[in-house]
Order: sequence, then C-alpha cells, then structure tokens
Amino acid sequence: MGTLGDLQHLVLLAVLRLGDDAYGVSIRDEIRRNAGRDLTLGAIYSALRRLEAQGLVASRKGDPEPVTGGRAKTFFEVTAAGRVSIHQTQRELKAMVKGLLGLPLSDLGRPPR
Amino acid sequence: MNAPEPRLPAAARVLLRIMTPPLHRESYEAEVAEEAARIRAARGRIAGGFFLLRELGGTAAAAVRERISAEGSAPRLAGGAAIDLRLAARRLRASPAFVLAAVLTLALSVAITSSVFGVVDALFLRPLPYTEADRLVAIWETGRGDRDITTVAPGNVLDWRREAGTLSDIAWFNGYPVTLSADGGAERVMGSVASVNLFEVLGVRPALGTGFLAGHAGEGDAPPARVVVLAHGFWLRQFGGDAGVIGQRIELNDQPYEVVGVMPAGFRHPATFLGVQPAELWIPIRTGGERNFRFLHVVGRIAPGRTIAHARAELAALGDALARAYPEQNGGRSIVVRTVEDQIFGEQKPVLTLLLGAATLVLLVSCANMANLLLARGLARGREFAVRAALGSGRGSLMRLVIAEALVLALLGGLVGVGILVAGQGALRGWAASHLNPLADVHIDSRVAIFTMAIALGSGMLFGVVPALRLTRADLRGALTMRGDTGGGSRVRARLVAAEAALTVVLVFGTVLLGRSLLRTLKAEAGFAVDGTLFFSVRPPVTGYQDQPAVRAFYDRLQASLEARPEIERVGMVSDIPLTSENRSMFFTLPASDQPAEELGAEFHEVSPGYFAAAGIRMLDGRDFSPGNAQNGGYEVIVNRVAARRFWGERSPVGEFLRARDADVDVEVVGVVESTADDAFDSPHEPRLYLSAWQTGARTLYIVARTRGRAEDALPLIRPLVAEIDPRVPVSELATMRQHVAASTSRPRNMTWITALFGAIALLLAAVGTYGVVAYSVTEQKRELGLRSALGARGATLVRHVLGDSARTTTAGIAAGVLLALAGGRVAAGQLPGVPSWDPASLAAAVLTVALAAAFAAWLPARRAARVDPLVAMRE
Repeated sequence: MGTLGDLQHLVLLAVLRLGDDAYGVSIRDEIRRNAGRDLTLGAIYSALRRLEAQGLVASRKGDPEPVTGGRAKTFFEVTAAGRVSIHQTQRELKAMVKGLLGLPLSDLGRPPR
Repeated sequence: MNAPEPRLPAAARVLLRIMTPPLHRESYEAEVAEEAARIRAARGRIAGGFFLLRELGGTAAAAVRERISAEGSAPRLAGGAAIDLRLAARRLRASPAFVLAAVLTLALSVAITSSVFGVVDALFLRPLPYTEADRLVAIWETGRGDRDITTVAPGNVLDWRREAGTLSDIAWFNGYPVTLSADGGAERVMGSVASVNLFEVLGVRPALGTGFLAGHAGEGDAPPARVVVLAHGFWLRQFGGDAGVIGQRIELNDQPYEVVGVMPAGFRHPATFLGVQPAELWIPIRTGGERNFRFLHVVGRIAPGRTIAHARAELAALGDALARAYPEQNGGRSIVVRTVEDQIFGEQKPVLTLLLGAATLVLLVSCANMANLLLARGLARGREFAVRAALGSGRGSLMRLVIAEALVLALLGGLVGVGILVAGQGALRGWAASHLNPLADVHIDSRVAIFTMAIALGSGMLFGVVPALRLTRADLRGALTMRGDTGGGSRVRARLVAAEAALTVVLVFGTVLLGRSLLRTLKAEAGFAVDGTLFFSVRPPVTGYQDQPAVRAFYDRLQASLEARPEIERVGMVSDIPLTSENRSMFFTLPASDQPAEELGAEFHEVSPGYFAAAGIRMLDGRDFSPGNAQNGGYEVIVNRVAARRFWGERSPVGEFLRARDADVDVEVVGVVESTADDAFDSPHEPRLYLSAWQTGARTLYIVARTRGRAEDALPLIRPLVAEIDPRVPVSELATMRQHVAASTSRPRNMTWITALFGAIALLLAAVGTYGVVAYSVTEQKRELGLRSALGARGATLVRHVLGDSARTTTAGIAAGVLLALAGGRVAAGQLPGVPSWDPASLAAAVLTVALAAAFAAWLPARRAARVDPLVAMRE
C-alpha cells in the first residue's frame, strides 16, 4: 500500500468528509470550499478510479433521483484500507513538517498563484 | 421537477468518451452535463461553454497524468498548463470579434482536411465487409511480355483452382448488364455473373435464402441454373423488403430466374474495390475452357497457415507451367497476386493524394492567416509583454502565454470543425459514395473527431510558434517607448502573406490543370454525336408481341411515327447505348485467316439499320445492314475501327467472314464504323462488333433519335407518341445523350469542382491575409504618411509607398509558388493520368489570378493611405 498522490489525497479526504453524500460534484465543491483548489470533474473522477483500483474507495449506485427518468447517482465511500492509507500519509507529512514550524512562512516560498 | 436530463453537445460527448475509461463514465458524463446546464442557466452560455472547455482540458490532462507513474511532478505540470489556458481564455474573452474570425477560419480548414481523412478512413482504414479480408487477394494475368495486368481467361482460372494448394478457394466474376422486365416496364440493371462459390470465398452468407449451391454451376456442357442472388439495396427497391422473395421468379434478359438469396445490407460486390461497377444481382457464370479471351475478375482466399508469399510462389510456378502447356494463349504471361489493400490503393491513390494535398495546402494557408492574426493582436500588446519581461518573466513563460492563446483558439476551432463535420456528414457520405467509391461509408465517429482535434491542436502549435517567437524578442526598450512595432513585425507578417500567396498559386494551378484536362477529356473523341441526340428504351411485352415479326412490326411503326415528326430527323435502335461498359461478348474464329484457328472475342451490340446515322457514328468502309431478315441473305456483322485493325490488320475486313462460336454460323463483315468511347472517356477504345437486331431477334432495344433542334425540346413528345402506338409498352430511361455523358463524366468533374473549391477558399484566405497586412501597415505608418503628405506627396504616391513593400514580398511569394507548382506538377503528372507536367498556360492563369486577387485585396485598404490627414496623423 503506497502513499497517496497529492490529488488522490485531497479527493480521499473530501470523500471522508462528505460521508454518505460523496459524488463527483459534491467532492469538487468540498475541495473548492475548504482547500481552495478548483479541480475539474474529470480530474476528480480520474483520482476516484485510481483510488478504487487500489481498494481505497468503493462505489455504489444510489437511489434514482425523484424525477422522471432520473438516473441513479454513483456514490463513493472510503474503505477501511482507505482510512489506513490516510493515516499513513498524514503521519508521513507530519513527520516531515516537524521542526519546520516556527519558521516564517515567507521563507517557504509563495504558492504559484 | 420533471425536467429532461441535460445532454452535452455531441462533439463534447464524443471527446469525453474518447478520453475517459468506461468505469463510472456514465455518472461522469451526466454530472458534467448537469453542471454545464446549471452554469449556463446561472451565468450564461459563454460561461457554460468555458466550463465545458475547461472540463475537456482537465480531463485530457488527467488522462495524461494517469499514464505518468510519478505522483509528484505531473499535477504541477498539468496545473501550470491549466492556469495558462485559463488566463488565455480570459484574455480572449475580451475580443470576441477576433476570436470569431480566428475560430471560423480554422474550423473551416480543419473540417475540410478532416473530411478528406474521413473518406480515406472509410476507404482504406476500415476493414472491408468480408470475413478476414486481409486473407483475400485479387489475382490477375499480365499481358504478353509486359507487366500490365489484365483480367483472366476462364480456362486458366479453372486450372488455378484445381492446382493451387496455397489458396483455399478461388472465385471469379464479371459484370453483366441485364434488362429487368417487370409490370412497370423494363429497367437496365448492372449485375454480375459469378462462380457459385463467390460468397463463400468472401465469407459472407446470404441474409435470406440459401444462395448459390454447387449444383447451380452446371455440370459439363449443361448450362448453369437460372437462379439469381439479389443485393440488399436492390431487394429493398424492387421487392420492398418482402421476405417472401425467395422462390419468386424475375425476368432478366427475357428469361425467368429464380431468386435463391438476398445478401445482407453491408455487403458490397468485390468489384467495387477492383474499381469496376457495383452489382445489384448475381447469376451463376458458365465457365468454359477458353484461354484466349480474358474477362474474368478473380479473388482468392489464402489457405490457413499460408501467406501471400506462398501463394505468389506457387502461382508463379503454375503460370510458367501453363505458359509451357499453352504457348499461343499463355506464352509470355505471368500471374500477379495482390492483397486487397494494394488493390484499393492502386485504384484510388491518385485521387486521394490530390485531395489530401489540396486540403493540406488550404490548412497551411489558414495557419498562416491565424499566425498573422495573432501577430497583429500581439503587436498591440507589445508593452504588456515588455512590462512582464521587466518584472522577471522568462522568455519561456512569455512564449507559453502566446502559445496558450493559440491553443485555446485551436481548441475552439477544432470543436467547431467537428461540429461542421457532424452537421455535414450526410452530404459528405452521399458525395463520396456516388463519386468516389460506394465502399466509402463515411462516418464522423470518434476516430475522425480525434483526428480533427489533433489537426486543430497541431495547427495551433504551428501558428502559435511564429508569433510566440516574434513577440517575445528581448527588445524591451524599443517596445516600451515606441507605439507598436515598425519594420520587423510587418516584415514577418508580409512574409507570411507571401507564403500564403505561394501556396495559393499551387492550388489555383492545380485547379486550372484539372479543369483543362477535364475539358480535353470531354472533347475527346466520343465517336458519336453528343448533342442533338436523345434515347429511350422500350420493351414490347410478350403478351401481344409473341414472335419476332410482331416485335419487328412494332419497332417499324415506332420508327415511322418518330421520323414523321418534324423535330426528329432520323431514328435507329441499339441494344446498349454508348458509354456503357461490361457489355456482352461473343467469341469467334476467322476461318479465312492463315493463322491457326485462334479463338477471338469482342464485345458486341445489336443495332438496326440506320442506327449509326442516327447516333452520329461515322461509317468508314462498306455499308450499313440490309433491312431484311436471315431468310433474305446471310448473317451480317459490322465491326468498328479498332476491331478491324486488331483482327484483320491493314486489310479491309469488308467481305471477310467470321465464324461465331455459339451460333456456329459464318457471318459476313459488311462495314466498318468509327470506334466509340468506353465508360472511362479517355481510355483506349475497345474492339466492337455490331450485329443486325432484326437478324438476332432482339426484343428490348434503345431507340436513339437524332433531333433537328435541341434534344431537350424533343423529350416531351416521346411518351405520348409511344402511347399512341401501344399504351401497354412502357418507356424507360428517357434522356438526352448530353445528360448521359454528363453522368458518365461526373467523377473527373467532381474532382475539378472540389479542387476549385479548395482553390477558391485558399484564394479568399490569402486575400484576407493580404488585406490585413496592408491595412495594418497603413495604420502603423500613419505618422510617416502624414509627414509625407504634409511635405507635398500626392495620394497616389502615398498609396504606392504603402503598397510597395507588400507588393515586393507578395511577388516573391508568387514566384516561390511558381517553383512549387512546377515541382508539384511533375509529381502530379506521375500520379494522375492525363495531366501534363508542363502547362505554361495554366501556370500563367494561376499566377494572374493570385496576383489580381492580392492586388485588389491590397488596394482596398491602401486607398485609405491617400486620405490621411497630415494634421491628425502627426498629432498622434
């Protein structure tokens, strides 16, 4: 079980936050609202596919929407393996950040925006 | 709320489908559609469009990322590019007119290039509708001692089938025009006589019925069974898709045939990839042992476990053996085996090369225009770039800005181009099927869409590079202090226009060449009168006209009735009108010749006395048929010039005899006529024999009438006239000879029109480019012009000043175009028949056209130079 890429990590966390209500658009909104990153739905689905391939999320079809010909949405949730992966990644990041706290942010460089 | 599910535009759907793997694709597409609808409702269509674009870009980036294993680097790359594209998009949003012009230009050229690709794809890249088509081969013989391929003699193909072990089976066929008689009248249908195993060899089973069975072939001397298999389209047309057609009888050439099969919808007669006419029905062929007359098309299937190399080796040895065994007939000939791809390429390659070449030229011209547009736009922002450079942006990132704009435009242009293709695919398909090849089942599907986007993006890179390099030169101080750019920028733009002029010269030259070649073709020796002639076909039904005298009486009455009209000068009858190919053939020997009894063959027609005069075919020697029947005299035949030369050499054949194989009678040659053109107008004329229709007892004939005035004016009186004689006799295929000829020459005409269209588009683009360059030049030189005007220069001088520079570069461009055209002409002459490599008149015409167009396009904005107000100009 390897560590997560940047994008996959965000998506996985968003799915965790959203609980029952994690699907493409809601995940995108959640990331945008909290992390300020504006991802395309394509990128999110791409990350979801890889996460699913790695067994870190699982998908299920929800109830059809309450309109005529409404489609059944695909919802995602984090598996147990997924949670383990999150913890592991968080642990690694914390270990690397340790000791850096206290330095003024300007020395760490501005994000490219 | 019962709102319908939002749907994405087709092009976006296609692209998304290509770029995403199938897992969860449905949900993804649906969510994108919903979001797009939501944004469109909330923030307008443009916002919705940009959302879609961003989605597509992001998905493409994600698709790339999925291929990159390293996790860390990819997102940043994609993220950076996405930022650039977004900024570029925002900047472009501010100039909608510019975006519109650029996108439309690119979309048009991209759509043209993609249509050509679509046709190429349909013809070559899609598999043929046969089982394992890559194991099918076309087999030919060669001429005596030369390398030209010919169709095959029946005796030989029977031996091949028996002996060749590397081929699991061989089938053969030929074209066979038939007259289909039904209650509605008589109709001429193109069919095929084929060996009964044809469909097995191709690996396609009939959709209805059993198809041909082995017993249908006829054993030994017994003729083949009178059974027929129908093509799908024919079955729909004639029988309305009735599944009960199996077992019914149809009347072909006055004989009843039982329907034993209907082929499935996608099936195509293999003749279409051999470049001959498609067939609507198939009849079993009678295959004798003759080795002299070669008329069969042969296809074979390579046996499992063998390769075409094996087949070639075996057939080469077999060819040698047959040449030794039959030295007169097969001596000096060999066997050629071609794969189906080779075969198709050989037939269609010249046409498609021409099309691709022309389309590429148009695309290049369009790219040059796009580059010009971007340059013009960019020059106005020279200060912005200078400021960015001063603030530390490297040249690379400045270039990325420009290229990002180019790519956004390219993306839009590509999408619009796909839209044009999708909208126009019906027209494209129809055109390709009727004028190129019925196999060209052109679809605008994901492959064509990918190709279109690829061309668009490729063009984007191409036309983005030049402005990117140009606009980001490190000329900070100059850019910051002066307004706009003199010298350098205009020079590049002028050079681009010169390049456009060069390419346009090539295209227009091609058009003129083709046009002149076409004219030559049309004026080529038809051998018969094209104007002032009309024809129609009739068939006296068996009920009421049971025997030959009754039929003859009908035709006599018809002829008298027609010739009594003042509009009609004279009338004749014929079994097949000129310009039809694949006619019936007869075999004969020359009993009087001193050579051993060699069996000869030629196409034959049945005509009435007076036909040649009516059709305008010159009589060269001897006389026309006598009006009597066989009882009055012996059988008579008239030969055409090519036949006379081929079979009798320099001697006059009049008075000689030939012995017809099937009838076993001696026939006397009574006359020689001029030869007539075949289906392909400019190919060499074939030898033909004409028999007297009254002697052979033909029933279904075409009436050919020479009119006193225009043939079109005489058309309306035909039907009433025939109805007056007998209302039960239907009139079909009524047309003027000119219309008939036009239908036959449609292919070269269409090629010429298409190239002319491309040439016109290129000319327009080049003119627009020239206009833009000169207009810009006038604007940026306003101060200088104002100065000169204040110093006393007249209007004409000012105009000359502005034009001078662009005239020089455009002339250089045209000169370069001449060189390119000459080089290209040489290549084209090698590829296309009938196109000369050196045609100074055409080249001069092309140069003149482009020069005039450029001059006009330059003169329009240059006039403004004369009206520059010196005070206003100098104040700026």
